[in-house]
Amino acid sequence: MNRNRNLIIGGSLVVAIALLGVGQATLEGVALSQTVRAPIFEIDPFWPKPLPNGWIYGTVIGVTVDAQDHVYIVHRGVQGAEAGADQNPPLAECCSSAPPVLEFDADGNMVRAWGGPSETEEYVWPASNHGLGVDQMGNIWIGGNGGGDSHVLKFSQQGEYLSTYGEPRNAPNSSATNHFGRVADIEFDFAANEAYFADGYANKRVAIVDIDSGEIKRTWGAYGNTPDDSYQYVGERRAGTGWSADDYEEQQFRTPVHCAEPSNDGLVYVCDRPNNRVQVFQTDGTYVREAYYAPETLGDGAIWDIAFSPDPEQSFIYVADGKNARIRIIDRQSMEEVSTIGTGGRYAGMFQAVHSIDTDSQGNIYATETYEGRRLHKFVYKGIGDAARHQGATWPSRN
Amino acid sequence: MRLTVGRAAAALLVGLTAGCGGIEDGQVPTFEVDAFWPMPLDYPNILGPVSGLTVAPDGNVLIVTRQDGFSRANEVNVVTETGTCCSPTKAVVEYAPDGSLVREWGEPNQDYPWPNRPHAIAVDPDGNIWIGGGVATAGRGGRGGRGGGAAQPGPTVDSHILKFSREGQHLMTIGGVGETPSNQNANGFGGAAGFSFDAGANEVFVADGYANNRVAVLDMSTGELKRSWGAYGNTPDDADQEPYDAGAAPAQQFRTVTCAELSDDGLVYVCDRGNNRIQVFQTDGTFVSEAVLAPSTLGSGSVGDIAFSPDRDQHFLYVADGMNERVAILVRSSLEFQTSFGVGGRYPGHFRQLGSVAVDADGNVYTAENGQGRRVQKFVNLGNGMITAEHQGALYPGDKR
Repeated sequence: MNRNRNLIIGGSLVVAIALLGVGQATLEGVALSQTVRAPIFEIDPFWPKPLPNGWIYGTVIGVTVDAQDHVYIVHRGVQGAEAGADQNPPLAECCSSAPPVLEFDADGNMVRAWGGPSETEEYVWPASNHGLGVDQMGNIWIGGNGGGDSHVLKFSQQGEYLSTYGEPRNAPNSSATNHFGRVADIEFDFAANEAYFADGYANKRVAIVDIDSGEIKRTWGAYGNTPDDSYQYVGERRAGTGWSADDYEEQQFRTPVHCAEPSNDGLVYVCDRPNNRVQVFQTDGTYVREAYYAPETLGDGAIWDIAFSPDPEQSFIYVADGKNARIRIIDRQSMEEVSTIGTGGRYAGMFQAVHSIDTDSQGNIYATETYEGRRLHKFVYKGIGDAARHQGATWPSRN
Repeated sequence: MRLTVGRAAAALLVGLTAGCGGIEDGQVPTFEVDAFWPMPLDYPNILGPVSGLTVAPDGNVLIVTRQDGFSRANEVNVVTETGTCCSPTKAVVEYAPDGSLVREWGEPNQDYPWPNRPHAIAVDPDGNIWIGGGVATAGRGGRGGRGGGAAQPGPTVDSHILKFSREGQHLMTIGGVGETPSNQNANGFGGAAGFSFDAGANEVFVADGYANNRVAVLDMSTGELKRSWGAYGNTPDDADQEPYDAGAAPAQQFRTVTCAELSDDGLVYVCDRGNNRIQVFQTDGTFVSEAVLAPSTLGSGSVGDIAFSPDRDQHFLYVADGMNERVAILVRSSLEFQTSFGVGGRYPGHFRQLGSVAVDADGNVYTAENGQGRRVQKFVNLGNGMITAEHQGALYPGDKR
C-alpha cells in the first residue's frame, strides 16, 4: 500500500518541544519571531449585520457560499432561558431563536430565513441539523447528525422543499445503498453532476451521489478501503497514553467523517476528524496521500472542515480545527501547514469550537462556531504577505 | 415615587449633536463599541464567565471571572490534555486603559478561602480590592428563587468577602466561611454581589446578595457589620418569597440584591434584580425613591448592576439588564428611562448574560458578561446627543450601522 505519509511541523513540533520541557509560551515566542509567506486575513467584527426580530443563533454547524457570494448557514436553534422571548410566558424581550437556515448577502444583510420541521410531514427535518451545501442550481442540501438522520434534504434557495435523498430513520450502516449514517457535510462536483457526502457521524465513508437522482454511485473508506463498521482501531485514543494519530495509520475513518471536498483538479479531500488527518483521493476513490495536523489531539479531533482558496490553483487549504481554536493554512501542493489564524476566546476573530468553513470568490473566509461560540465570522482576505507562523486574532493594526 | 419605565416612550431618531459643557435637555451620552478592546490574551488563555467588573481610579479595568463554567472537553482542553486550546486565566484580570493585560491573580487552594463562585470586584479608597461571592448550587438559589420554588441555601453559598492588595496579596477575610445565609447573621453574608465605599464615613456598602435580601453596611477597616436594611428600609427577613409577579403589589423585601452603589451626593442605589427595580436610600437606610425597569421581565430580572456617569452631578445612571441584554440609560435625579443600547448575541456590542457595568473618568462604559458571554466590552463615549430611539441596538461604528 502506498502510504504517502506527511508529517506536519505544527503538531509534531509541539510534541517535541513539550517533551523537552519547554512551555507553550516559549514555543509561541519562537513561532511569532518567524514570518512566513502566507495569505493574510483580517477579521471584520461587524459582519454580518445584527439579525432582525431579536433573533440569535444556536450552534452554527454549517456554512456554504454560493456563486453570488451569498453566505448560508445552518444552526440548531436556541432553547431555554437564552431564548427568553420564546418562552411561555416570555421571560424577557431578549431573545428569540432564528429559523435554522439563514442567507446573507455579501454585505452581511440577512436576506432569507427558513427551515424547520414540515407542518404537513412532507419531509423529515433532521433530529440534529448538520452541514449544508449549495448546488449549481442554487438549491440547498442539508445533512443531520442526530438519531435517525440517515437522509439528506434538498430545498430551493427560497426554502421550498424539493427532495429527500436516502431513507430517513434507518440505523447506521456503512454498507447501505439506500440511506446514509448522519451526514456531516455536502459538497459538489458540478462537472460530474455528483454530490459528495461526508458520511458521517455514524457511517465511516465518503458517499458519492448523483445530484439529480440521489442514488449512491460509489463509496469508500480510509485509504480507499471498503468501509467497515466492525473495524477495530489499533491505537488507544485516550489522554495519558501518548496516543498520536500518525503512529497508527488507522485503516478506517473514525467517526465523524466531517467533510469531503472535491478540488478543481480532480482530487477529493476528506476530513477524518478524530484521526487528525486529511486524506486525499482521486474522484474514483483511489487513495493519493494523507497529512496529519496536531496529531495528538484527542476529543473531537483537529480536522473539522476544509475550504480551498479561490485562485485557479486552489493553492491553499483552510482547515477549521475546532479543538485547538485555529484555522490552519495549508499549502495544498505540499500539504504543509504554513500559518494559522484565530485563537481561543469570545471576541472578534477568536474561536470557541470553530466548526465549518468556506471561502467566497474574493478569497474571504467564512467560519462558524458550534458549542458556545455560536457565530458566523468573516475574515477579509488581504493578499499574500509576510505572516506570523500563528497570526492570532487577525485584528487590524491600530495606528 | 414609583416610576414604571419600559416600552412606552419610543420616538424617532431626530439627530445627534456633540455635547459640550452642561447637559442639555433631552441629550444622552452616545457610544460606539470598541470591537478591539481589550487586547487578545496570549494563546491559549481565555476568560471564564465574567462575574464582576470595576474601573480603578487610575483607569485600569479589573474583572473577576468564574472558573466553574468551563467545558473541560471542549474549552479548557489543555487542562484535560486533549488539545492545545484553551486554558483559563486566573480569576482576577486587570487591564490597562489601552486594553493590555497588566496582571492576573486569584485562584483556589491558596492561603485564602477563595469563593466557590466569585462575584463582584471593587477598589476601595485605599486602592485595595474587594471580592464577593455567589451561590454555587444548581438553579437560581437563595430565597429569591423565581419560578423554581425556594432553593436550598447550603454550604455552597459564599458567605465571606475577601480583601486583597492591588497586586493580589490577601489582606483580610470578612465574614465566616461556609456560614448558612441569614439576614440576621452579623458574621456572614449570602453571596455578596457588589460593593461601594464611603471614604468619609469609612464605610462599605455590601449588596447582600444572591441568597440574602439586604444592604449590609460595614466598617471599612474592621469589616464589622454596622447596620443593614431591606426593601423600602424594612427589616430584612428570611421568609420564602412567592415567584415574581409583575401584577402583584410591590414586594416589601428585596429578592436578589446585586448592587449597592453610593453616589457622590450621598444616596445608595440598590439593584433589586429579581424585582426589576432600583431602590434609592439615604446612607442610613431611609428609603427615598424607586423605579421599575422592564417590569414584565422574569428569569433573573432586569436590574443587575448600576454605574454613574462621571460628570460632577453624576447625571446619568447606567443599568445592566441581563435578561433583556441591554444597558439602560436613566437620568439619575428622576430615574426616568432615556434609551438603551445593546442586543442579544455574541458579536461586538451584543450581550449574552450581561451582568455588570462600569464607567471610567472619560465616560466610557464597560460591560461584563457572565455565563456564556465571557467578555468585558468597552463602549467609547462619543459625547452627548439627541437619541430618541427607545432601544438603539448594537452600537457599531457609524459607517457600519
